[in-house]
Amino acid sequence: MKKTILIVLGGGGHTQQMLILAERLKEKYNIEYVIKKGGKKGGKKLEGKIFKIIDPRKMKDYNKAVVILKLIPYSIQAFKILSKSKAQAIIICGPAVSVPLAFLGKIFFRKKIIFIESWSRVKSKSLSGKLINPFSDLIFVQWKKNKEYKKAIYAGRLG
Amino acid sequence: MIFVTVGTGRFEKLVKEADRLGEKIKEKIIIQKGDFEYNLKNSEGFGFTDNFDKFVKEARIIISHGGAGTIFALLNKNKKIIAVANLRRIDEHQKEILEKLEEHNYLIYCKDFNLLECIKKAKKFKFKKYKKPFCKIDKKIIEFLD
Repeated sequence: MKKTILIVLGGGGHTQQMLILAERLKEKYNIEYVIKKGGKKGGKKLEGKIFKIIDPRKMKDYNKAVVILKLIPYSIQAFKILSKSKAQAIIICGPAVSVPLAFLGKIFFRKKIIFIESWSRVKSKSLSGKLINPFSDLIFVQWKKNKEYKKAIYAGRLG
Repeated sequence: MIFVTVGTGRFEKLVKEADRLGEKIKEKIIIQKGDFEYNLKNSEGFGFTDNFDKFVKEARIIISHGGAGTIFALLNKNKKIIAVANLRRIDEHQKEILEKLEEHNYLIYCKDFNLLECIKKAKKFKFKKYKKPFCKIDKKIIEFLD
């Protein structure tokens, strides 16, 4: 039987990278997706189960206090998603607001966490990366010269 | 035709500067404005489009925000790109990737919003063809989960 993985589509370029990866993994795994409510799906029709979650951080009204408050309903929704999901592993590449989902998945549901640092990070660490680093099981950087992570693997780039 | 894109976000300054460019050159300018209502005076445009690829294909030059997703997609289509970093994002990561890609002559990184200057520069600039790098991320994930 095929294993299941959960891929988090974080919007914009994050979604784009994850869809390229999903295309490469769909033969091997059943893929479930988490998308933002009201967000675009990267223009593609997704095959597989889709879970929706609120977006605590809308670019237009970016305000840290609001983001933190919104993390409460976000976490409740994340909990519901994780209890329905059949995935063994969660694959994410940011943004930072998608990190709590991975964190809850790791702590309460024993999911493996695979983090892919964005292809825009040539030599730096994203906020997602800083937050997720301590509890991820596998980390990729997409530029060879990015040495920001002790345990990261460089295995090429998605774009 | 010059196609300008700001991606899914908001990049007011680029929209305004690109519109202003229309005063100075004769070539047609089409702007994808993203999440920003603005009355264009010297160019045509829209917020978002389903025909993105069509505009890209028809464009002689593309002026793009620095989102790596858009940039890689354009590089893979061998387009001439003038890229502008949107530094009002969460941090300045767009600058980092654009500096790197400019170092290899894959694009022109327009640092000071002087679009006219960059359009002139593009005439003589030898854009290097982007070669997609290898990718084994999927294989490594499969190995790890097996």
